[in-house]
Amino acid sequence: MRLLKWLWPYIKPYRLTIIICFSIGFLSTVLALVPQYLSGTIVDDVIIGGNRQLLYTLVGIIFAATVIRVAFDYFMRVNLMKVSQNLLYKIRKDMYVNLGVYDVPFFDHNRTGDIMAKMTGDVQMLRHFVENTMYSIFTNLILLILALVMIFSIDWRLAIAVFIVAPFLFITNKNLSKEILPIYSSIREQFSKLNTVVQENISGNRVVKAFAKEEHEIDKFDVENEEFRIKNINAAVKWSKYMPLIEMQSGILHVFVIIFGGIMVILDQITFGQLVQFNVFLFAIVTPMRMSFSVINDLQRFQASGRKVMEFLMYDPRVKEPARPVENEIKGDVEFKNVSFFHDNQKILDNINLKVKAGMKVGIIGPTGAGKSTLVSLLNRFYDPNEGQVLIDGINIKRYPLDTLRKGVAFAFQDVFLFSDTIEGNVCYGKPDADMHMVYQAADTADASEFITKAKDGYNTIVGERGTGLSGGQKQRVSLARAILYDGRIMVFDDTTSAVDIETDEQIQEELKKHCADKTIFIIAHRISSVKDSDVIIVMDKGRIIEQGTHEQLLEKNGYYYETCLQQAGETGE
Amino acid sequence: MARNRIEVDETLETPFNAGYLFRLFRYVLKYKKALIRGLILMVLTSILSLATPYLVKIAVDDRIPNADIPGLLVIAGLMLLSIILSNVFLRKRIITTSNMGNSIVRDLRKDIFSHVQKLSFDFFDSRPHGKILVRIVNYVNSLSELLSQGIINLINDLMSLVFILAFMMLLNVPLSLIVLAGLPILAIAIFVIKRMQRRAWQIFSNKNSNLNAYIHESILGIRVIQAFNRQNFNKKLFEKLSDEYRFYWIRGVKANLLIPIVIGLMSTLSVCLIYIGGITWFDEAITVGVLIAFLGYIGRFWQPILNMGNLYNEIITAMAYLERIFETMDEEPDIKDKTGAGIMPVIKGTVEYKDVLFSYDKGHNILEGINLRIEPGTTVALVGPTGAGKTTIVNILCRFYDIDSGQILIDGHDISQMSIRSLRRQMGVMLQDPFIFSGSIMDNIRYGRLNASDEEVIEAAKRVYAHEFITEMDEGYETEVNERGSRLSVGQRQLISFARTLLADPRILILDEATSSIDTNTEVLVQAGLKELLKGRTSFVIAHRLSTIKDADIIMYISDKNIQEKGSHQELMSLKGRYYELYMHQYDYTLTKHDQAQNI
Repeated sequence: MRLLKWLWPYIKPYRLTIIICFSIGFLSTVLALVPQYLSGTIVDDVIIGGNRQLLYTLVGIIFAATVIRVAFDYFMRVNLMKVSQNLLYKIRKDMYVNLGVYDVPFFDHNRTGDIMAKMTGDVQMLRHFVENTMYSIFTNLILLILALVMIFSIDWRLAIAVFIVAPFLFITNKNLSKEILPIYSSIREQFSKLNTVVQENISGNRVVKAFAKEEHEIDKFDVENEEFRIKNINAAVKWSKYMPLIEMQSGILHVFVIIFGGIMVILDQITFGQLVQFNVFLFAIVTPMRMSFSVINDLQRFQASGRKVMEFLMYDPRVKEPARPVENEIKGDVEFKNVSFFHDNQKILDNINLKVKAGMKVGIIGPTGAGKSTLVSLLNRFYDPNEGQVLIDGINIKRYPLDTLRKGVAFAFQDVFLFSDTIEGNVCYGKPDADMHMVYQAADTADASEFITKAKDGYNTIVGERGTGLSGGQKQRVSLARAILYDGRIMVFDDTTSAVDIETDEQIQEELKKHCADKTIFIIAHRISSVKDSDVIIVMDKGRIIEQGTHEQLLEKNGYYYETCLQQAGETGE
Repeated sequence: MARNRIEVDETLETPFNAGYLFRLFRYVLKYKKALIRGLILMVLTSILSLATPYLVKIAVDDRIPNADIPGLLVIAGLMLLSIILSNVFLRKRIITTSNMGNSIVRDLRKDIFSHVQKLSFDFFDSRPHGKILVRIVNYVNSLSELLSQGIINLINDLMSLVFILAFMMLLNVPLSLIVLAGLPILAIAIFVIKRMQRRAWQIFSNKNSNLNAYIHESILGIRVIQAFNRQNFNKKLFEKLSDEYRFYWIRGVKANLLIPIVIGLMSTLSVCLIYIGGITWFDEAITVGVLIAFLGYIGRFWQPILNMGNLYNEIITAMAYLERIFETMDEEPDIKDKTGAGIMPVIKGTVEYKDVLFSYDKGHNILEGINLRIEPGTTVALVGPTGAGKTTIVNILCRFYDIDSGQILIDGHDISQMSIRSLRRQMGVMLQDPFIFSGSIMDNIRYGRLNASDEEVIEAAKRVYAHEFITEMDEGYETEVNERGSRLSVGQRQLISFARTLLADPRILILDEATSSIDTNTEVLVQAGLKELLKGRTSFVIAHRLSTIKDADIIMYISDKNIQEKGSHQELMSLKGRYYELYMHQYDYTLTKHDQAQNI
């Protein structure tokens, strides 16, 4: 019920079309009876009565009725199909739009394969519900009601006899829905797993090959593939239990009517003609009875999948748009005030305090896992801190609309992700309408233009998913160019030049200094050379700022920074 | 290498051939026992289902008019018996057919998945991954209905068609011919509609694949999308892809729906013609009884045709998927074992490149005339500008790509003559891009050697200094991580990937920017631990940090498609070439730093 309530807004715009379709469907069912009815007339009047003139008229009517019926059917089916496709379109679009809003925890808990399964498989069940199940319920209900009215008008006692099977039918159907739902849920679950195992195998194909683990992958896949088969067969086992039960009940109904009806005729309670009529209408009762099996099945399938889609769409991200957003443009003052952040129970950031004026360059350095990336991801609200607040221009960033905030912060990620698109398309990812001149400039600043122009198709070279075809350093520079072109007031460079040689790195740092002179820059790096000229350098360890100051000040502290410095100097100074 | 983008349809390389259906049928034949059993059960049920109306007829015509209550009860008993029997058969049939259908789907999916495992980097790099995923999972799934019910229904329908036709012929030949005259018309109609359908469904399968690929990539790149505020722009792209999906689906179904309509019209038309023909043309010869009986059969004649029409629609739709599935299965791996490929013996570590030429695209050489010989136990460092081909040199050693000409020998064995598996099992490659599978950290490290004990896994983690941060997590080694998860930093992923490589205990170790995201302090510790491990093993190291490079036995400077300089640090320094320049540049830089540090 909750599911239907949730689905209603999606169906509502099409309610008129649906009602029209249902009505036309009803008419076409009635029209389907015309040939049957007229056949009787042909036999009685034309063949036996010898009225040949009537033949062509009747045949004409039969054919005309069929043409109309067929046209009605086509109209109804096409329109219901369109409605269901529009609904699919809308739901899937909403899911896609929500992906853009959902926060990191969502993606931590939903594997790529799971999301794929929901967006490609489960939504189809909702479509099926609107396209077929609803109509099927409608026609069968109508048929059932009409038939019931008819049999009661023939003889109520005999009609009551029909109800003997009702409780059995009810119990059977109820048990069926109870037993089949968990099976459908488990099939959908398994579909998700199968998706995940295949998806990771494809995404991780390099690792698989490097370790020659193809056989292991096939074994892993076999388990899920086989499980998927078994789950599907489990459903068939349930069908095999219930479908014959329902079929049998409808068969027994015939037996009943023959026995009771026959006896009633023999005892002169009803006429022979009534019994024959009764038997005819019995079909109209038995058909919906038998259909109840597939309807219940579809409904449960709809429920199993619908719930997954609904849960997906009703996820409540912790990172939310502000209720009363401020309208300020971002200038670039940044302050972290008593900021702490937990991942599960592990403290990732511990009481961070840092004040940065617009236009300053902040260098961040520290061991792997110190919380450097987490700290900067707070800036465009990939996460919200558990304690304390982050302020930009003196205002808590939770009060900026998300797109204003994220327009103000340009990110070059440590974990470079490029899209399977041209290099140009990747560079202007954040500014799709940028002209080529700006693209060239950004590439220049990131020291990427040389290798790009040397590539086979220059800026139109297509890079594979995740940037395959480019070396690590090249990918990083494309990602850097992307951030530069995006041009936020605050620029975040998260270890963006680690795979670039020192020489190039230095050039990039020089260019950045020129290009981003008036911007607030956060730069995470392992090379002292990248952070050395920062206005303030912070050293992080275990979620805390352990040292803070300029290069010179930090050298005097004789701490982590000094040691790292010595060590890196020692790398080359004999 | 031509790469495919998301919104570009993949071209179908093989034209339609009926061979695909036969090929599919081979999968069915494996279950011919189940097929036959299903068929027998189906026929038995059909026969029994005919019994009920017949029994009702006897009751109504005979027992009731004669007030024969015991006789009536006997009939009722017989009805009951036939109902029970037919449902027992039904039950068995459901299980048999579903078993068969799902088993075929499983086999088909296993075959395509296993085949994809054999394909080389090129295959994966040249198309969005979502497009491969959709073939293995979704396309195979959509065949399931056809395979479980379709085939048996088809045979059953064909059989009933033959029976009914025979009855009709026995009854009256001219009338039967009138009915049969409808079939050629139907065939023409189907032929016309088929052309619309085929095209629509082929295009649809492309649009479906594009949409799936876009969703897939959006999920993987979600952080970039959010950070760059691309949601609105992407929404429009998504709408366009969805629109196309919807458009071609509607077009395909519209064409599909024409089939039952044509059949419906044909069936009524034949009824009309029988009336007219029966009553006016063959007046004398045909009795009322024959006419009525004949009309009864016409209904039964068109029903199986209608069923087959629907099945035909399913097949047409499935063909579009089937083509893609078999196309993938026919994809020849670029890199495969030569016939009679040898097994690589335990590698000692001599590596030789002889006149090696390599290109990704013909005519665009990446490496030319590479010659080198490395003795066992040597650590080789590769330096040079990004994109110079350093990664390529090690990739061809693992046969991720095959070279265009020349030879690569390990311990004197030409690697192109050795089985790929036996070669790669002894190579430990740590890639630039660490990939984490969803599962526990323990399982991720163990991926390197599946039979390693927990202790061995922990030992490997300790060696790369990953043990500390792992144990600090709530669930330690059992912490669940995933592909894009935020649980691990990039540096931590590199360490896990490093531990994974070490656990594999490779004879030749290749580190490709393996430690670029790890802080220098940790790196020094890792390096120290590694030195002992590397004793006696050949290793290749690609890095930018000179500390990693300097201690190597041989340093090679790669640029302009070849090895420009080769030798130890001292040798290259005294050469005063490009390595010297590179080094001095950094030296200059760090010297100032060094001085500053001294000046405190």
